[in-house]
Amino acid sequence: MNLTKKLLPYFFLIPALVPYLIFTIYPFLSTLRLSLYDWNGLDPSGGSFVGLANYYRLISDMDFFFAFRNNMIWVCVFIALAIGLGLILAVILSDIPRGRNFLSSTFLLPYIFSGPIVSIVWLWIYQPDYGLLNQFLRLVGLNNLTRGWLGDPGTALFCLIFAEVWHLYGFFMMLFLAGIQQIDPFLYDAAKVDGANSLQRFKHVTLPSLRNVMNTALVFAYLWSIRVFDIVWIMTPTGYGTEVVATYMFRQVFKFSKHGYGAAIAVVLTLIMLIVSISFVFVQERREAQ
Amino acid sequence: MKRSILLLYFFLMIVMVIAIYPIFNIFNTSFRTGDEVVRDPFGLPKSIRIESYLDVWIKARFNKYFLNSLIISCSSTIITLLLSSLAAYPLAKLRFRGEKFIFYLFMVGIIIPIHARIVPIFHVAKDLGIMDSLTGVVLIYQGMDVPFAIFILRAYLMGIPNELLDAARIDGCPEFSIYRRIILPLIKPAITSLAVILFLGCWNDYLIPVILLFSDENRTLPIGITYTLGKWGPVASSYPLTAAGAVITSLPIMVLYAVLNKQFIRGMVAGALKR
Repeated sequence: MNLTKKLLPYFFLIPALVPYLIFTIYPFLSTLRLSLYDWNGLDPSGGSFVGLANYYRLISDMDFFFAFRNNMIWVCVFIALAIGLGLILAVILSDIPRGRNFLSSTFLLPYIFSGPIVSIVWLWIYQPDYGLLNQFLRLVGLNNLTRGWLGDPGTALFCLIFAEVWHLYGFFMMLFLAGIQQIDPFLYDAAKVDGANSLQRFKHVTLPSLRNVMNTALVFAYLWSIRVFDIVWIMTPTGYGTEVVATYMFRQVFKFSKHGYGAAIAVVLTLIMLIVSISFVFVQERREAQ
Repeated sequence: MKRSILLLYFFLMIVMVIAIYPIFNIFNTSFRTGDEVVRDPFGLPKSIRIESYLDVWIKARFNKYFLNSLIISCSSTIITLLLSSLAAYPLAKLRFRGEKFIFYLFMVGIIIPIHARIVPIFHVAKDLGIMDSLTGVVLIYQGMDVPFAIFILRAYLMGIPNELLDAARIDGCPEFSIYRRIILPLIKPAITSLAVILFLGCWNDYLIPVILLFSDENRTLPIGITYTLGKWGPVASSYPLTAAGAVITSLPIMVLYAVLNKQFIRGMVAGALKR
């Protein structure tokens, strides 16, 4: 009786633990191990142990460096556009007398679509011959601006980022909108009495009150940009000029059968993600403690 | 004052066009012929033409893909909710040895991105003989989603007063009945929001099916639609077909979004953790 009572909690936990250990914890540990091996994914011996060779190779791999650079551009541009647009829309929506719920639900619509659908939508827009963007430019007489948007390495990356901004900005808007609704209206009244105009109210009341929300938004925007995969993979399958770290890893593993090298890239990607997100959490907690 | 408000609405209208037009365009294209689309990209359909839908649904086997997506998403959501609500109960309300350790073990799953697991998941699936099977995908989703669901449900359960459970225990109610008769009904609101998030995540997922499912028989909608991209002849004439496929793929989640808008928005920040 006493024993069953002691073991009871584990009976509740085991059904969830089993798939979790097999499909999450084990694969994670396995990635760490695999990153020290040279393996083509098929050899039953499991490949040969090469120590840190995969990591050394990564440092001098110009293709990886290029993918990493693209990924950093992605992080910066995505954060600026998605958070900027989200914030502007949230401020405007919280200010207008009518239609807030309808408009915010509409703006959030792209967020519910999957990566493949977003890719299809934007592949058509960027298509060189019949794509909506080029057709629109021709319509308004800007023929010299038309181009093969995704084939041109100068524009391809930015076109992809823009599609991803369209996909996800609604999330940031909702986040900021909820944050603004938490602000004490008295603060605005006080600022008005002091003669602050709307720009000053935004700068001195809204922005400082949104500090924690902004932190959350930055962490999500960072994580989503650094791990971006499906729209890049689907819209530019060759990765010409648009390779990012996740697609580079995928290509190494599933196209070139370099499973060990791919695992090393995955470990580095994870570290880059964790360092930033953990330090964000750390900073936030220290600020709250003060 | 009045003018500035009008200006704001004007700006919002522009953003709305950019947000909605691409989506409207898929619906629009799906009812037109390829020729119409090429000749007049911004025009409206001359008549409501449903041939593209019939072609995609039957000839391109989207009926099969749809069914696969539905089976995978529904069963993963239900099983995840079951497993995680069972696990969340002791983690929130019972004292036992290793409690902290197990909780943190689950939290590792939220922190570690899918990229750091994807390569071995492929090999584990191969070793277990669950490649190219719907069951395999469902099992992998369990492993991926359970920590997130536990995190949400445990937090919710923490807010339920212990007195309620103690009273039941004094009356001699066994723990499992407490879970079934008290815990489950109480966490219903959390379960509904969670179900929306989980379903949406499975329905939209691309990464796991793309590495696991390769036979036509087993494709889900996101894989089916990208696989067929460009396989229907010249780009322009295949537009209506792809559009119809995209509508079929996204209509269920649009309906879900319209009907369960509140739950969706409430669970959004939590859902973002899973994205």
